[in-house]
Amino acid sequence: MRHLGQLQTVGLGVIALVCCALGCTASPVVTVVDEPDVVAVSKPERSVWRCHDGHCRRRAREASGFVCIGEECTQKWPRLPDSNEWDCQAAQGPVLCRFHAPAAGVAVTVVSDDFVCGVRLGHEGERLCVDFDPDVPPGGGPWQCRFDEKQMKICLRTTAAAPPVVNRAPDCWLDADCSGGSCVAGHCQ
Amino acid sequence: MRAGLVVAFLSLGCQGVPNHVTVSVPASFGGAARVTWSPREAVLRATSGPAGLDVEVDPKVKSIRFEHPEACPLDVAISGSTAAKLVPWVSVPEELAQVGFGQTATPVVTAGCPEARAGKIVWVEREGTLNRLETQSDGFVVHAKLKDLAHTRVAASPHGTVIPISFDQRGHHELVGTWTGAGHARLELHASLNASTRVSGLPNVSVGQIVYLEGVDWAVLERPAAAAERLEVADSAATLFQANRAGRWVLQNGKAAPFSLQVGTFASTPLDCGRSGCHSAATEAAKGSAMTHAFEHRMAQAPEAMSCWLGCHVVGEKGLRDEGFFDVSSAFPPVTSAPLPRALARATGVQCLNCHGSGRIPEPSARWTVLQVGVCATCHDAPPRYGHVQAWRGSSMAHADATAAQREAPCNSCHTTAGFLGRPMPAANEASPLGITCAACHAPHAAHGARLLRTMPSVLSVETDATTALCAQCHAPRGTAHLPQSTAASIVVGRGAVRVDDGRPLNAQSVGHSALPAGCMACHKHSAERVERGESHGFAARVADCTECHSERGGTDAKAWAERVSSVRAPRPHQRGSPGVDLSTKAGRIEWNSAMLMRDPAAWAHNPGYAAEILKQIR
Repeated sequence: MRHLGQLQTVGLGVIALVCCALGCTASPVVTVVDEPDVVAVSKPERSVWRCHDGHCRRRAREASGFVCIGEECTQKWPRLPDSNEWDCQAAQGPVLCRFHAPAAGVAVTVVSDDFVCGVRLGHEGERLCVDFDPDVPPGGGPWQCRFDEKQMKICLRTTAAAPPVVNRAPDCWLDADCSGGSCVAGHCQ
Repeated sequence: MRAGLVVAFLSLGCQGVPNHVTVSVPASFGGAARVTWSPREAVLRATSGPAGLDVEVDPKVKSIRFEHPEACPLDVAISGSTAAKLVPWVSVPEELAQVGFGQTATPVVTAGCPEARAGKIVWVEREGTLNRLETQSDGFVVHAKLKDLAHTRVAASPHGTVIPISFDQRGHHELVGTWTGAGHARLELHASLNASTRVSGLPNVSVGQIVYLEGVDWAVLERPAAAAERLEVADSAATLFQANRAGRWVLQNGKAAPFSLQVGTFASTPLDCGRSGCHSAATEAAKGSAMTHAFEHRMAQAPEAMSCWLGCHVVGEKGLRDEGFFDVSSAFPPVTSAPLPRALARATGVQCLNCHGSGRIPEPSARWTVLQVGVCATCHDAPPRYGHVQAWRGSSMAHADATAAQREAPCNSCHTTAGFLGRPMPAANEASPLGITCAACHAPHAAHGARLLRTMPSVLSVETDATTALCAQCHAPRGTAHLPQSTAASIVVGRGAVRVDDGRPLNAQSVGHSALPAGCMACHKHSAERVERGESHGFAARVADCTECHSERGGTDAKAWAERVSSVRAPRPHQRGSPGVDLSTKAGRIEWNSAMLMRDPAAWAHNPGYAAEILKQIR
């Protein structure tokens, strides 16, 4: 049962659910069930909604949820740029992916709008894509995440705050790409 | 659970038009969580609280149905006097994927509310032929005994391999139940039972997938660490095998050589098969293939019928935890439109893993198994609509390697698929007949033209359509060192025979058959049984095909031709070793021409003028 509380969700003229002034109890419950793909949400829970310009998409429609055992949460089918093969790293915050190989025998999908893409410095044509608003497990963070060899995303709760990141196209994968600097979330610093 | 009292009342708007209906939902709705309604646009505002669901509706709507996955639906009529009624709800599992051959399925029938349980269900079998169908408790308990494996098998499989189970052989049964109850409309229920999932026949299966092995004397020699299997006799000729973990099993049947079986899941195999150095050419060729884009095409053409076509346009089997499309989709909300989540998109189309999966590809000694017709039969043996394999089974192609001699060199180059493609042959103890299978003529990831027809350099000295060029690989002389074995394609184009006097080529014009766009397949397009698609894979021609163009039959027909050639001395038999011939002698040239003529029994139809000329040369 999903209790969204005193929440107003206005879904592009398809459905509107509000807590009405009359007849509300002190703690009304509104249950959103048949929701459209895109809604406006006033206080979105980040682990549930992915929002842009006030419009939110339910993350579960695009990447599978996390399964948590103790402090470790695993996302079996994470969000990646497209249907090709990618190597990804997450650390704290953004997910950075490097093109690995074309998927064989698969109709290739367009690169997701969720990623900002660029080319790796010194590696002509090697594509990098970064997601600045990655999926995280439910509950408070911050999270320290990594991708395993099967590209499953595994997150552990951490106490360290995520470093600030620059929201622009990535250009590095390793520190070695940065001429003595360091590569943070795909950007040389 | 007893349904609660339903109360509804109206709230009148400024003009006396009702615009506010309050419904106290039944207790079985569980506090309104997960309530949905239709039509979707009927509800303008809704809140739920201790009193129930408070709904403001569009006054133009006449009725609304509220639904909850665990309760009977509630229909509310919006009129001067509002009424509400419960609609009985009964559920059955949509599909039982692998009940097992000869086993009894007992699908769980669930009544959504007491009103539903008070009714009766009458079950009938709409599709399939069950061994027995019994019901108890007013139809709420169903026992369906499925037929044995022996009833579905077409022929014995190669020793040492997994028995292929096609779409048509999977023991599919469709049950339809009709629920009736006092005061309520009838309700139709559907349940699909499958004895087995589809199995390609490769020694490469999914975790948890039940497969059958030829023979009954199997033992496990090796298994992955901490893994276990189910290994039991299925019937007098087959053994059931099911593995619970990914990895490599080694099994042995009696004294035969050990047999390696790879167990895996689709997503455990990276899809980057086309990495440089691996299968990049195959990947490139597959990019434009209709198979690769099968899901996209169907999605664009018939999204409303997705439940019908989905199973043959994605990777994986329903009901298995195989990381195929159906398994992955359980991690996402229902799919209704594109774009799909990446993990699902990667499991669409008919791609590498549909034929080569689910996990690691078989070991080199077993790679030939991908040439079995069973691979294609997982989808193309679904008569009466998709009858490609059924038609093929009735053709000579299916029996081309029936004898041991045909499976040995040099005959195997035209009598076996592996030989035709120049691939390693099965080991002697596995060399049961496979026939000339789909892979001989269709090349999903080699050079191909329309309908995935393999493109091969022509052995004929004239230009032909692609189909004739392909057929000619075996139905025309291959060089002059040996007597021709099968000559139809060369007779059609008027090539292949020699002048007896000097040994120069005896060429003639085709009667026009070689100009037909579909080549040989313009006439050789029938099978014994009519099917909607794929009938041409019976490769039979009928007299009616001739009369399509030849409205009046000419002076040549089969009987007359048989009389004309009865005096021709037959060439040495078509047998192993294809006897050599010396074209430098007149006798050799006569024998060559005799073989050209006699080894196309329909020469009189294929190219009567050329046949008559050869006959003249012989005489």
